[in-house]
Amino acid sequence: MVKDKFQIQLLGLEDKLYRMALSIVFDKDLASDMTQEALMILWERRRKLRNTANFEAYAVTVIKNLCLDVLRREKFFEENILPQLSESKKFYGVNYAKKDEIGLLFNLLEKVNAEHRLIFVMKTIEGYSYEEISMVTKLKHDNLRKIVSRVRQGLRNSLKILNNEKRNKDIAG
Amino acid sequence: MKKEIKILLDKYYEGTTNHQEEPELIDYFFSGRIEEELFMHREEFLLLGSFKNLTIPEGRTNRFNTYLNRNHFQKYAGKKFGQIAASIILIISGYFAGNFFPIHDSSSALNELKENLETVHENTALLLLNQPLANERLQGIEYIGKLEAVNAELAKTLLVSLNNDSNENVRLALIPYLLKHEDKDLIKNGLIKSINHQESPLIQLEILNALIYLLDRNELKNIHAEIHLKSPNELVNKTLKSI
Repeated sequence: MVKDKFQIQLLGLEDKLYRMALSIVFDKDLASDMTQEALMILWERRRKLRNTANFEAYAVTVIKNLCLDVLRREKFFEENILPQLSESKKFYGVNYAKKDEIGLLFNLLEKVNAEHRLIFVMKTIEGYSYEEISMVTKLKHDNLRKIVSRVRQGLRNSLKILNNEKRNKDIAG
Repeated sequence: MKKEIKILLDKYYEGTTNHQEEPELIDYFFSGRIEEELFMHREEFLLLGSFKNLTIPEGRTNRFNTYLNRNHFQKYAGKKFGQIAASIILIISGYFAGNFFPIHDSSSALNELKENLETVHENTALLLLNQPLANERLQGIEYIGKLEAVNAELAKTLLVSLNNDSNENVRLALIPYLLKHEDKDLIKNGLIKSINHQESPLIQLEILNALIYLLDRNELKNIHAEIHLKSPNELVNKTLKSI
């Protein structure tokens, strides 16, 4: 694989990796940083990746591991270090505008487990097949289908509840 | 059309639509020609469509591009190869020197080997501390842990990283290793200078703890006036008052 071809291949993945990172960390700046970090890791490993059959699955695995690692560190910070510090400051703030569409989508998906969110985004937004998602998550086809179905139905129901609340408020107002 | 979309929707919620059917649904709900009965699903697909169109913000791609443009990777590969080759030559020459020259004391050969290993660890640490990936810089700090002492070059590199590294974890991890350097004044001055422009309370605390470890009571009293922290939190303030 020549250098330029690999470079083009990497840059073609940039936005996809960014969206997947965003679905895990819910923070635009952090997702951008993770994407850059992933691209550099992939570039450093380009010689090894020359013979990788599914380069894209490998790239998604890299971004997934980087983002889940950040979430784990954030959780450790909140559970072990934050209680010792008086001010309630988070390591990574959620810096999306809550009023925009992406912010609303994040609000609705907030309670969904980070890995399930990634599976949902891979299938619904990025159009990966269950076989490809299975290479990244090591979960079986049927389990993946159930997760995707649950998140999709959950999103529909949450939106319904939100709209009903809005309607009730409007009526009361 | 309505029937087809309804079937697709059922499949969608069961998770059985394929990669051609999903965009079809999104396109339908973006089209504006939506049946009244299906209108309730519109918002959901509009949200998904907006997410699909999301791209990495402009200006955020610079890091990787700069990294590529500078051809840093080539220098890195060359430099790394050179360092590894030098290390191997060093070890082999140590081995032959041990075999060809009479050794009066086996402990001196062992010491020589230890010194060679120390040099390898120092070079590797220096090399890794200058890498663009935070993970690699953290690995570099791990190598410093293997050293018995930190030399002046490494100590200065660590102080530069403490002031300039973009990654908070890297800055936090390197502080204890500064104490391995023998020039106490260099470290003391470096830490005082650095603490005044650190914003993270964790790093401020770690530097204060390093200073407490490094200095005796009188010295600590003297440096008190030199510390002017940016927005210290309660715990940092308490520690500062205690010294």
